[in-house]
Amino acid sequence: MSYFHPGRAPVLPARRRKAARLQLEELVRRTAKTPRRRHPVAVAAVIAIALLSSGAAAFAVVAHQPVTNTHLARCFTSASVSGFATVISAPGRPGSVGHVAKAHNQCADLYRDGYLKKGVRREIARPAGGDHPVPHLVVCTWNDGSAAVFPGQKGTCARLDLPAAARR
Amino acid sequence: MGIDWASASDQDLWSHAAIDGAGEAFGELFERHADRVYAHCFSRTGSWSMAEDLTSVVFLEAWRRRNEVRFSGDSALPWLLGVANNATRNAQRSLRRHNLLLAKLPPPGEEADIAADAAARVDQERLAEHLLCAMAGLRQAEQEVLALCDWAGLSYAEAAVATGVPEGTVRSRLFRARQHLRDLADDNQARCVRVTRSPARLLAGGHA
Repeated sequence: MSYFHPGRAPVLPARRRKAARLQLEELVRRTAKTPRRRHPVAVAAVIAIALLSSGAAAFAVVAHQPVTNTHLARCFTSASVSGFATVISAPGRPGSVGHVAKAHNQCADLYRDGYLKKGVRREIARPAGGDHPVPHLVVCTWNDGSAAVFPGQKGTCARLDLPAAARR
Repeated sequence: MGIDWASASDQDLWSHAAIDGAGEAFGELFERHADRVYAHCFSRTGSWSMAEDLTSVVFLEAWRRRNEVRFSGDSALPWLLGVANNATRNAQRSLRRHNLLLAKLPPPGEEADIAADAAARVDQERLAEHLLCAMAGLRQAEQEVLALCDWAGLSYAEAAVATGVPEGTVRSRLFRARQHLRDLADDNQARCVRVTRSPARLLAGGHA
């Protein structure tokens, strides 16, 4: 038994399907285990380079992807893809389809005005007046090409398996 | 020679992706199960737009937890639906807390690519709202097993993989869930018939 009529089973919209598939394929290529068969000398060389280098940054995989969908952006309150997020669109017109030119700044404004607070899984309906703390924010590219803004540092996007938003 | 991913089993695809880094293999898994995951996310949230986001989240989470995968027969679908349960649970927690605030926001605009079947989708969202409202009186575990078995059409064994509990527990939970739903029928009739707002409208708003 299924909730949907057999002839009308829902189909993920093509635009999302294609974008999500491409992103997943890229993610797998970037983050899967490296092949196990490696020449021992090559492995030793890699370890030596790692020890001699300044730190983990030598291993950091830097992956950037431009933000191509500016109709909306997501402001997260924690560094988690399944955490709470507010979707923003056109400034001043909540809920409308608009153009998010600078997602980082707009999310920072929500923090500054007190609507969002790092670690709080909800929006604050009536924030107290004055400026509120704004955490360090990083902009990643969501699978639909829109910006996803997370509290975090350099490397947060990679940790979330998302490409960092490329500067235009 | 290229590999024919379409005829490969789920387990083979998963291995090729996790061990060899074959992106196309995971892409094929996504193609194979995305619609069922999407439907399940919709049935748990009542929102098409939220289901779209959650479908992506499910596969991202599945990849992150790729070493924990469990297959039912050869299928990864039950385990993916279990990941979907976790993802929707997290999302719904946020929604529940914000219904009053978000309900004040105007609805989002229509999306061009769903215009053709917009009426059917709206009908399905209303039906899902009603069913979700009716299920609100059940325990979370009962809701999940009901959604997996009665909505997504999984067998008891598959639902056991999805929920990580023994098959016997799935059977008893499902029995209790159906019983509770019947017990709540009169109450639900009065309470849920007037539900008008959908989570889709609630989620898509924002502040500026």
